[in-house]
Amino acid sequence: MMKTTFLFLAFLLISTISLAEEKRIAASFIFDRSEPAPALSEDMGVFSFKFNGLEKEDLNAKITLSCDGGENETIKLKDGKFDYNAPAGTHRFVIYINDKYFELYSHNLIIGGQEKHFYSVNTIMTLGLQIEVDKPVIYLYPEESTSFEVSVIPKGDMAFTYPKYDENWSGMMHPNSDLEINGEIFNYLFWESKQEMNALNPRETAGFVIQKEGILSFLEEKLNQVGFTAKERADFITFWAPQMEKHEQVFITFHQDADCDMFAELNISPTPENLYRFYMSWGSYDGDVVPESQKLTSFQRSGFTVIEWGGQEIPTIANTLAL
Amino acid sequence: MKLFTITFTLILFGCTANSRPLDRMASVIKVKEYIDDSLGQDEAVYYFNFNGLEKKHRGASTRYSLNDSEFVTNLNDKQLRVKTAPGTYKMAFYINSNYYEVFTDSLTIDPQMVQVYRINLSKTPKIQGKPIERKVYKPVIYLYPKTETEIAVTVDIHGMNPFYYPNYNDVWNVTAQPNGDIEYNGESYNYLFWEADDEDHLEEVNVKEGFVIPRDEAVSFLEEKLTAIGFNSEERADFITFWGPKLAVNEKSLVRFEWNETCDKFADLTIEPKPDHIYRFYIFISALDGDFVLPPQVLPQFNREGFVVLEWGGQVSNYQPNTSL
Repeated sequence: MMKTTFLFLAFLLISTISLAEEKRIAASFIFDRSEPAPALSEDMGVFSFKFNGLEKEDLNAKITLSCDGGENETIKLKDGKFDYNAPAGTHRFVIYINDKYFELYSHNLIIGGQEKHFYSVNTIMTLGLQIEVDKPVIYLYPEESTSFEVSVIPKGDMAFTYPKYDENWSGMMHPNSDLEINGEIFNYLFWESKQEMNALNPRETAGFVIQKEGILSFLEEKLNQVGFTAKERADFITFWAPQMEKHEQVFITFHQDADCDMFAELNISPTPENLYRFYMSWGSYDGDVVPESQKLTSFQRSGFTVIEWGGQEIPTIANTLAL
Repeated sequence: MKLFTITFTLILFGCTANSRPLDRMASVIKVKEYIDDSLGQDEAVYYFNFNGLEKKHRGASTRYSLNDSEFVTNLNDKQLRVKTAPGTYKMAFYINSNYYEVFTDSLTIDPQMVQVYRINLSKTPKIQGKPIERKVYKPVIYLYPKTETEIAVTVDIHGMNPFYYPNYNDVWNVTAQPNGDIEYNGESYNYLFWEADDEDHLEEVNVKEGFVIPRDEAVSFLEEKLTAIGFNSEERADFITFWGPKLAVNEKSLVRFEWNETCDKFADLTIEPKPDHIYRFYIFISALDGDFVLPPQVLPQFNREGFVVLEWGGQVSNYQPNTSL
């Protein structure tokens, strides 16, 4: 019965699957209404764009626009709006306001002769994005078995912890890095939180631009250089590399040690001889800026050592329009 | 101007630059058809039920096109009714910027016929939300021989774009220890890892058993089930720290498990020498909208005597149980 149902469903799936010939990104251009525009010639139409979410000072800004991959045009907004005349047919727009907003890409917009189509366009700020700080894991490597207490104070809401976090994690730690908490053994402590961050800007941030094929070897090289063990490296790479490899190219910047206080404060008792924190911010990146290269410091693993790694995927400003 | 050959990346967390998984997804599925005598010979009716529509968008004004003509109408709750002349139509639907536009192939309808379709909406990524998951399984493989043993592990993955770690060349030839340590190329690992793009599994099965899990019960649910099945605490922590956050983003999730031979459809796993027990255990998760009750799945129990291999994996699905029909 189960099998028949499955075959039947599979048949339906195959028979009605819809394949796209082009990217179907609806994005943030929302059709509002149309009205006749008899003043235009028969083969011309007009798009009327109205931006939502602009700051007051940008309502009459000069913006940059490209229609159908053509040359950049500079257009002055009037009260957050502008009209654009285009031949009847299908058009695609890229619009850049300024670096406070992400570039906007339209889907195919169709217009007929002597028609005026109104679209509202949702802008997205590059500042104050809600980003999830993903998978920080904390490993403790004491020299002898002893009790421990770890507290994390994230700069945002704690979204997930494991094992259960109740003002702190406490238990016994062992030299093989086993953590004994409430009678159970764990290899690491885990937390995630949601925080406010700004988009990454490779023009202003030191880091690396890495092509898809190079991501795995890049991470292996950097983590080795910094001093991750094979197990820590595997935890890091199996978490991040598959996500990053979905993109043709990424921008990567690392944060180490005290810099990581911007994500969370970490308090550990007894005080470790060495506490290393290693975070990676990355985002899909289309641009061709060569960022300033970043120097990384290496771990010294002597005495009671604590390693924490984490990271976040952050939208990256591409500035693909030639400005 | 080459600068504009860019795809989509930035606004979208970049997740759709390569939208192969989206394109492969079956988004228009015929559910049933019947003849309605009350319709004229020159009439026919399509019903489209939108799955994955947020509550606040029920009844939303929706644009659709029938061949080259465009229309705007309000949904009836989650349903769009299109009365038209018998014939063959290509259609497109656009609700609002929260969802990708959906395109159909040619749909043919005869006189007096009523056809009901399910349309699976895909959400466009939002800055404040999680990016769209590609269709992945995320299996890790643990090896527990009785004594130090050289082991050859082969995975024949049926999905696309596989990712392996550590480096895989047709086989992982490793030395494994009874405590689970895996030595490979002079390094020590806890597990072998692979991942691939695959079809949405829950969309393919008729979910008759499973679990409905509210957000705040996610961790205790997983702890209870995994412990009962026979995961050790390390495996459980790896599983929960991976899948727990994926459950915790949903108010309520539908959870279904698959295990052992069923998982051969995702990848064949071959291990030499032959273990006493190979256990595979996969979780499938989809965000649930609205009330839904399921009889619980009866789960297996692992015998951890002898040379044991455990693999776990899973997938986040767009599946919505059809409660409206």
